[in-house]
Amino acid sequence: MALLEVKNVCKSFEAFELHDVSFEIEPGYIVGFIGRNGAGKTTTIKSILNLTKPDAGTVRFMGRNMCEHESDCKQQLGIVLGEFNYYSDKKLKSIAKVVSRFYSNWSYETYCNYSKLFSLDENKRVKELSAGMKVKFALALALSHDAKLLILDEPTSGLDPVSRNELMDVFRSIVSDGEHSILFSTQITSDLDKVADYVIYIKQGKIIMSGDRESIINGFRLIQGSSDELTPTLKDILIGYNENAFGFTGLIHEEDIQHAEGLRIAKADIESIMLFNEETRKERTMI
Amino acid sequence: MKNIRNLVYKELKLLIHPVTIIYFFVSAGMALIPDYPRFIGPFYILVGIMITMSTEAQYRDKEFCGILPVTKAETVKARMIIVILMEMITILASVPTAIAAAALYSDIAEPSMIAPNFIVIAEVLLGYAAANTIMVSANYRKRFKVIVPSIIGMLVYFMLGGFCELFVTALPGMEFMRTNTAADLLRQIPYLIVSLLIYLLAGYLTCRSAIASYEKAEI
Repeated sequence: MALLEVKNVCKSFEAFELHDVSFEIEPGYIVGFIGRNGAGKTTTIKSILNLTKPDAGTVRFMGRNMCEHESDCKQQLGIVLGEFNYYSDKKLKSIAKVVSRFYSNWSYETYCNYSKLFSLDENKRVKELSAGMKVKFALALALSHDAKLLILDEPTSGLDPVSRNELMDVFRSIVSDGEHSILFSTQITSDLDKVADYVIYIKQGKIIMSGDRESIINGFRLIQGSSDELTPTLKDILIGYNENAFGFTGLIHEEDIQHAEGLRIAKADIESIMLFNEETRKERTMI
Repeated sequence: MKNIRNLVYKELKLLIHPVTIIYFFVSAGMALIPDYPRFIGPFYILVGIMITMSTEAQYRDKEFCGILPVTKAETVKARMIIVILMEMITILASVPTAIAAAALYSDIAEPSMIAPNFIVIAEVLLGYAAANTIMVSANYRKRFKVIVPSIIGMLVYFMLGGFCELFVTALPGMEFMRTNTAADLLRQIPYLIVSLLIYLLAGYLTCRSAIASYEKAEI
């Protein structure tokens, strides 16, 4: 049974619409949720958490309807919505004490371990923390009640590369038992390359790509060549490309690779797939 | 129920501004002023409630509650409990000083205002009921407004208080509502009970309407 099942979730705002968002998260996996700013990642996460009421669709967690069993479902969820910007004048230990009362599985020992790992000073006030430390505090709170699913919105923003790396190790160890999963949205696609098993890609409120990371990456190729080799036929086939004085780089579907004979072909990564898919025009001019 | 208890604890620990305690003392202290409109002292806790709701917005408390394992309805109920708690403490804190005032100023033969008695508590309860309906409901509507509804709520409290004072002091036959002799206090009890029922009913209805609005709101 899927841990989280999001089915046909729709939500309309004046300037933005979430169309039929559907995906599932199985136990034991890390799922990366990517898309540009304003693509609908946070709206999707807020709809899952019932912070925003979807116009249509259902969200089921461990087989239970999230709206109807919100409190019970959230007992099993660890949630981080960006950096911890709540109760700025309060000390971390006061906030942790309050949060601990809400979770039946809260482990003070686990919380202390994460506090130590993230070098959090319990006596500091939230406003005294840097952006990175605020994220770490939010993570320490989310990780301390043995949540079956962690839903993390931009958990790595503001973190230095070493901390990000440490966090990726933490993520891997959490899912290693095959019972826990993580859904995390991010702009830092290199984090996905490191840990994500699955990737969900949202663009203008629609899921345009969803699947295991390897399949997604293997579905595309990066090709490079001289400007002369960028023929009109090739331009039509390419998903996107950029041209500069030394030639061009473009993204192509794996099944179209026969059209790129004689060109340099390289494995794509999440970033290049996202970059070339986000082009409104096919051509990117290098400045 | 456990979630509501924890939310009340959260409000007390993280949200309620320490300055609120001062308002309890202000209310108690003002009860000692002789021949004074006694509904004004308990008014100040409404400022405390407004500050608490402003702090809530500043601390992004609604979003924080959204990630906790609680429902929106429980969040509203906990807030209503806190508001009622603050108001009841204000009234109870004023009781000893009101008794002291009654003893101290018993020699004022013709008080121009309502003496410390059950009618004062009744008018305060009615004022609170009206103010809560406006302030708490607006805090859970689409835009989570605090300041303007609070000011309106406070104005309504003043108007109701002023009207009660005028009604009791100006109309003939209302003398028993003005004084605090044992016999008159007994006659005032039904008015106190009715106002308490109105206060509780208004609290219940406010809570229901706030929950309904909050369920639709975007956090």
